[in-house]
Amino acid sequence: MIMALKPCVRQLGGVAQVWRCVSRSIAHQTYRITAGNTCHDINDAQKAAGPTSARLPRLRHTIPESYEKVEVSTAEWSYVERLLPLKSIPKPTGNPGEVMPSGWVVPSAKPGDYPYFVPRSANHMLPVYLLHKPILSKHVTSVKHVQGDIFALSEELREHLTQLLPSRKIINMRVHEPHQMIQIKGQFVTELKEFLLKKGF
Amino acid sequence: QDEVMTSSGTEKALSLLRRLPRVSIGNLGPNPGAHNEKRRGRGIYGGKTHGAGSGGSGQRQNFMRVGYETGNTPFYLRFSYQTYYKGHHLKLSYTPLCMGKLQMMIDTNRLRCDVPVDVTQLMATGLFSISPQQKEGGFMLENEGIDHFKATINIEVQWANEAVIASVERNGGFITTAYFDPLSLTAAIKPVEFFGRGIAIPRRMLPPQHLIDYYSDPKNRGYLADPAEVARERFLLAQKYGYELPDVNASPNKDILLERKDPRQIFFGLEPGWVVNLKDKVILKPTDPELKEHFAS
Repeated sequence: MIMALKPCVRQLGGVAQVWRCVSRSIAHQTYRITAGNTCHDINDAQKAAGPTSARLPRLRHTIPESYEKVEVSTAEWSYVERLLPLKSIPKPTGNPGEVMPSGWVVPSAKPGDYPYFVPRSANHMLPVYLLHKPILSKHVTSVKHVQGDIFALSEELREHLTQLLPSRKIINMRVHEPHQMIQIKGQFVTELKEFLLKKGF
Repeated sequence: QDEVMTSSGTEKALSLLRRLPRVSIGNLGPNPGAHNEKRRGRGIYGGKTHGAGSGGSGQRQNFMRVGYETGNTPFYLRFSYQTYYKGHHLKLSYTPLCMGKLQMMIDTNRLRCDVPVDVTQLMATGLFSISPQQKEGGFMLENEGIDHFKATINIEVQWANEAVIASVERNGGFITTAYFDPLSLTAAIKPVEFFGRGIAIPRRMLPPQHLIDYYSDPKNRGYLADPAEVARERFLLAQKYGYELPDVNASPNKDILLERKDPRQIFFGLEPGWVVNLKDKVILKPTDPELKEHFAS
């Protein structure tokens, strides 16, 4: 970062001569000072190591005191506050049931509407997930956080999927009540999300 | 005398117990033969044969190192480089951000639109991770969802193509592509951590040789391009894609939409050289003319 000014000393026929290895323009460019770094006093060095001087320049490895004088201000504090991230995920605003341009729907269902209730995840998304290890051709669609009568929801889902896929004879479903989750063998994420959105979850 | 002569084993044991220290994990050990100490056999003198019987080098599992080809230069050492990796250490990668995801973040209030959107605001959502040390340059906007993009925002990313630029400008927004060098990016993505280090805000460095053309091109809305040419390109793009450019002056967010950073600035409103003290909630600015000149350059 900061290039050291090292004048070369060569012995020529018994007389020590000093060449300034670093040109004036480069020295000017490397005059970079940031708080906490040592600085070079180039002028002092240039004065000390004259063309005929055999001594190395005296370098200053301290920050000049004038750098410590600062101006304290709070005028631009609003710009700093802009940069601070929020401590919690913000709540979305919108009328219940409103469909946003991205396709995200504001939930409208309340816990009493149905025998079950499926709340949104912490990021306000529907809790329908696809479990799939890429190396295996085994897909499991999972609906999580199901509160209330989970078996009622599972029956409704089975009915809905049988309607959608009449060719399918068996729909493998696993209702895990303690984990509040329904797992269905296959890829039904889009279908289940549409079903839940229609219900208002 | 009879009692002493006929002391049984139990009595001996009990007297021993009285003398010995308390039993603890530190003075217990397994019975001999309780732990089978297997030693890996090596070569013909190891004593254990790995279950493959003894006799003959074929039956001994004396494996050579993986990839060894019995003396000739192995395949994995034959080629010291591949041409398709040339310059990989100089190229940056960008976190893709689809326009659909951007719209979803705005719809769910995850991304605040009352301030200009840049790397800092996108990272503040907590949905992304960028590591400048792994040669990641920032965000690039992707085409997915440009048809449904409806927000009016002032966004600053690191890479954007023509279709994305058109979708932003069609809704009355502004898009700028800006380069952040690794140190500046580290400060920009985690400002709180950076301010906690107590060092002055650095100047943002200019892009490297192979990127300077991209960021100087008004077609890419580069931050180094001439603003007049950028305005002209906005007009031309609107004609190309067939939409009418909304008037900025009519929009209520005019101030936010027209806010731009200096090429040497990392944060909006904060200049290089300043030290932000989060604890005392003040900003310390240098007064020395040399320092000021350096940071302003």
